Amino acid sequence: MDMQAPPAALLSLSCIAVRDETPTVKTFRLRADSGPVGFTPGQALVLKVPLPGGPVWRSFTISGGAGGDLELTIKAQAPGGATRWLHENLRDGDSIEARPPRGAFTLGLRSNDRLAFVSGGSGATPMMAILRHLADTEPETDLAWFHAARDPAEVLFARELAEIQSRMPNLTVAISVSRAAPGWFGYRGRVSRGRLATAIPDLGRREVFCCGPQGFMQEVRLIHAAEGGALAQFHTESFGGAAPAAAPMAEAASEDPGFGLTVNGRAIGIRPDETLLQASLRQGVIIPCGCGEGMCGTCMVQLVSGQVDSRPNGGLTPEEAAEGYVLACSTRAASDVEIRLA
Amino acid sequence: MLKERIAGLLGQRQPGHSLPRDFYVDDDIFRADMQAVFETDWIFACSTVEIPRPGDYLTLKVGDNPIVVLRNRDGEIAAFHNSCRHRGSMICQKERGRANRLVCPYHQWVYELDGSLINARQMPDDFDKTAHSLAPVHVEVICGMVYICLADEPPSLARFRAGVTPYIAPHMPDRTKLAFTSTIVEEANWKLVIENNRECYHCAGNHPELLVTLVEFALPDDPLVKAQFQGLMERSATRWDGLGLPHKPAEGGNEFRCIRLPFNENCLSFTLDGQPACNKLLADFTEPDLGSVRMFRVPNNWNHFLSDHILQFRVLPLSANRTEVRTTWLVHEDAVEGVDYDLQRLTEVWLATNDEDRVLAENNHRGILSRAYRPGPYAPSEFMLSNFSEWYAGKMAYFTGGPQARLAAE
Ligand code: FES
Ligand code: FES
Ligand SMILES: [Fe+2]
Repeated sequence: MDMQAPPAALLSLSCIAVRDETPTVKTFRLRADSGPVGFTPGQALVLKVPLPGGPVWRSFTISGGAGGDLELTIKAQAPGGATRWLHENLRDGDSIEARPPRGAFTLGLRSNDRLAFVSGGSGATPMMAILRHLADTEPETDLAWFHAARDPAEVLFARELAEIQSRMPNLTVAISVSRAAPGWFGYRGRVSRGRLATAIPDLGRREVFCCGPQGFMQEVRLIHAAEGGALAQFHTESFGGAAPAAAPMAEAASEDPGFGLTVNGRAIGIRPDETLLQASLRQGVIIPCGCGEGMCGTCMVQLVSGQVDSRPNGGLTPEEAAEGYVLACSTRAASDVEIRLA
Repeated sequence: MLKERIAGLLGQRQPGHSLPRDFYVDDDIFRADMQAVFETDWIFACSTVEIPRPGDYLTLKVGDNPIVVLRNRDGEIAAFHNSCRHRGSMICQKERGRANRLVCPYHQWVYELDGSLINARQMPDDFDKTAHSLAPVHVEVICGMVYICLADEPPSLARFRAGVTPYIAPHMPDRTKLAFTSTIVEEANWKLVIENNRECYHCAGNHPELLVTLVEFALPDDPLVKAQFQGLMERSATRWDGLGLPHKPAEGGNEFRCIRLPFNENCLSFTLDGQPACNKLLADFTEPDLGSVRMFRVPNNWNHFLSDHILQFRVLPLSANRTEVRTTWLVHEDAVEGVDYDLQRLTEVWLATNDEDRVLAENNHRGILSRAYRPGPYAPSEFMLSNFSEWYAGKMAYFTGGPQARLAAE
């Protein structure tokens, strides 16, 4: 056994817990023998993985930490590689060496209030580390999360995202899998401009943090640019019908004294049995008109105040109606009314 | 009489040369052009995205015929003669607008968006409204481009549709919006406007803004330039093949031309620095270097489809010596002015180019009025003018009624 102390630059870590995330992903909880280790969410740890053929250095994002412990969430790749070795060999109580946390893929890069975290496969890990931090410190953050996985079983952090969403009201989550199965209700297919822009319509206005396989990040970079995003706002971690029939007007008692009608500031009266148009014409106020049946829109006027019974016969668009226009020929007063010629 | 005169002029025509003078300057022949060409063929009117919602309309005049193109309640494009069935007044007055119904301003006859007359006040009870619908005009929509035809029996557009769709559809013109439109009047015959567009022999001497980006055999003969262009073309072709975007010239005969060509090295769009005019790319493109699909169709339309915007040009003759040219700029439907694109940057190259071309066509027209004018020979790079004049001569020969068609072909 090698009794020499590790060089000062190295951390000596003990594995204190291992838990399964998905069939191929485990989270390892590590504790430094030298005491609590600080890190900035998004940073990575470079592990010295003692493969049988000799040690290799591999970089893994710190997915989280608590009380000075560090957690690494690692997906098992091909046999013979470092990730597979860790899955098969690193257990509770084992020791491993690492270089201290490093990396600039952190919120220190941020220059925009609207963020998008776009990840492919295990690239979700650094995103999650940053997200946990935001959930604790800035829960109001406007953030769109998009994650692409191969199949539903490999989707990372689904349950935790739901939990964080309950604390982050402006967090939207969209997930796409390339091999969907019955019961999958999210997006289907690989990352594409159409899919990403559907999930995050304002992608081009957001600052993107992206992590995933090289090809994935390249594609997302192009999509962000094609959506109008600026290059400086993109950061990657480099590993890992017919007219309706006329409605009959309500009959009204003719002895009714009627209401006040004001047209362009001029006060006249209106009887309940006459239309705004009839009342105006009768008293010498000219409103341009055509069909007299609510069809042509020529007599359109703006309702300034008052209650009316309006029966346009297709002569008014819904937008015009919403903007407070009525057709004088097909409108009666139900209170004192003020109108303005359009 | 006129037909005989035209037949005689067609007989004098030398293939490979500009046309005899009267074809460019004579009022009677202008009227014949309107009948022989503009009232028989498909005319480019506008883009569907200019009239996106039911009731949106656009008006234009084909010769003396006012036309209204609109979107009906089913969301389809329809076109009508913009002439009231009461006493003929023009109904829609604005160049573009929205109408819930088409209401004649004269006596307020009211037409549904399908052209049917639904209200004609003071007409007797037995008046038959169904016999007074607006006269329809044929419409075909191809990749968001609206073509209309005033003929009773329009010619087929099938070959054109099949030919250009693979080039244009990937740019998704339906998912664009109108960013800008400009209309200018050129004091020149419409055929001079088209001929000017069909060659870039004049570009080197006249289009400094355009030549920043446009690749054309525009510069003085230079083998080095030719070799550079070859290399650029081959690299672009390989990339576009990989993206499944067609680029080789389509088989359009004299009717249309469609091709994808690269911009100059490191240029992506029609801007003064070659960089994109709109940062939000069209369709689902992520590749900004798509050159431009250049599509021309007789008698009145040419277009450019880029990665970031679309340009459409419409030519409408006003008289023998006046021609209206309307240009529209389309960008991604979600692009935001001032954020994704700057209007000046988007439009400055072609506004300048159009104006330069206007001056050229006007000078051309004035020079043809000279009694010394004789039809002159086309340069090899002006081969598209030969195509155009063959097509035009064929149209006129058909109009004059027969044997001259053979003459024209000789
Ligand atoms: S006059 Fe025609 S809608 Fe009122
Ligand atoms: S001309 Fe149109 S209503 Fe009289
Ligand atoms: Fe030109």
